[in-house]
Amino acid sequence: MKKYLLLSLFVALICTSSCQRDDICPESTQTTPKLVIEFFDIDFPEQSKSVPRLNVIAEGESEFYFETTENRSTISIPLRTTENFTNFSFVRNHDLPEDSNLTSNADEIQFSYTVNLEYVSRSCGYKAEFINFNAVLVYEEESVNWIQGIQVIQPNDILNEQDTHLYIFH
Amino acid sequence: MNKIHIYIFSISFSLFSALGFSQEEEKENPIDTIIAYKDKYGIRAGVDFVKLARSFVDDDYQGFEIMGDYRIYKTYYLAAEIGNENYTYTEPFIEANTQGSYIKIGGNYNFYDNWLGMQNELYAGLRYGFANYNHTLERYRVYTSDNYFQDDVREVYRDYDGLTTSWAEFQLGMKVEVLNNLFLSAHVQLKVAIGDTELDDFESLYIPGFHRTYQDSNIGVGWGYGLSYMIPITKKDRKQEVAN
Repeated sequence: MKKYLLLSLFVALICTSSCQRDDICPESTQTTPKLVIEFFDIDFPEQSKSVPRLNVIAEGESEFYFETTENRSTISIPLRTTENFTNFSFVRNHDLPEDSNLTSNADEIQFSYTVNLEYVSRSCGYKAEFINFNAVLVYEEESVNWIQGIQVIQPNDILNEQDTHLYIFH
Repeated sequence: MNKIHIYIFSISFSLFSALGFSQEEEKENPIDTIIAYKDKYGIRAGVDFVKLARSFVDDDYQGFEIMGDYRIYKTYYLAAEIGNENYTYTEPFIEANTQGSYIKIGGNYNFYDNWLGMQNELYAGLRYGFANYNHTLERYRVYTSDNYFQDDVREVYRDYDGLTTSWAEFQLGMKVEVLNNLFLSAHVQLKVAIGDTELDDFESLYIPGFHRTYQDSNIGVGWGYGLSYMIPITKKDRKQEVAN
């Protein structure tokens, strides 16, 4: 009888270890972080202020990042890991209805950083971290910037998505 | 591949049970006669044909294992395996190669009561395993949670050489004499790695002889099917009580 007990224990052990799901990257694992941006009111810098009909598009891409255009006060956007910079266009009042008397306004911010690659696990592979992150707002002479100020949060390393990395005032 | 493994495993499991049941029935009969017979002792050597077959079928795998044992006392055997594996594996974001050799040394205990000099075995074994191997991290794709930008695939071909791992291995298996001195065997393995080789910015995903590793665990599993031949060296006289 003892040997059957031993055998079943052995089979059970083999099953638990071989059926363990570590071939799918769990969502709870910190992988390549996105850039987290919060929008604030330029007149009341403590106060969150959403951007009407906001969408963003990276330079060199043909499609906007968000599938739907809506008012947003916090966004998370990806950065290129193949380059040490990504330029994004932030479009306010994007895709307006035809009868609207508002005008769409696109402002460009250039992000620069150093990509640091780090091993995570079998299922998640390698993640990128963005070290020494910086942001520069491109001022437009002929039109008006809707973005009136930006602030990179220190320390300026993008390691996770729990922290906000950039404040935009408008 | 996984389904085949499960299939092979179920077959061996049912064979185990069959062997066990037939044995219990014998015990219930009253003892009647005592028969004398010769019990063969010798060196048994063989090959693992799962590794051999996989080498032919799987382009990404080359491997072999030679196994041997020597009976030292009635139900006790010294046993060892040596092998070599060269395996290229593709994970969702990683492609890597591991190659190296391993040796396993230990013993088996046969808890199957044979009938009249038959040499079938239902055994439990313990091994000390040691592997010496290299990894080559060939390429990886940087993990991103969305696909807004094009994939960032890095061809690195980074070598991790001269790595070693030790482990303790527990085996359960059976050997059946199919022709005179020719044995078919099947066994399963459960192993626990001793110590941990820390790699710089990578980890051992596969270790020759130990097989696949699991995240946050030092447990490994495996199985083997073998064909071996026994070269008899000595014969010992034995007597057995036999039911009518």
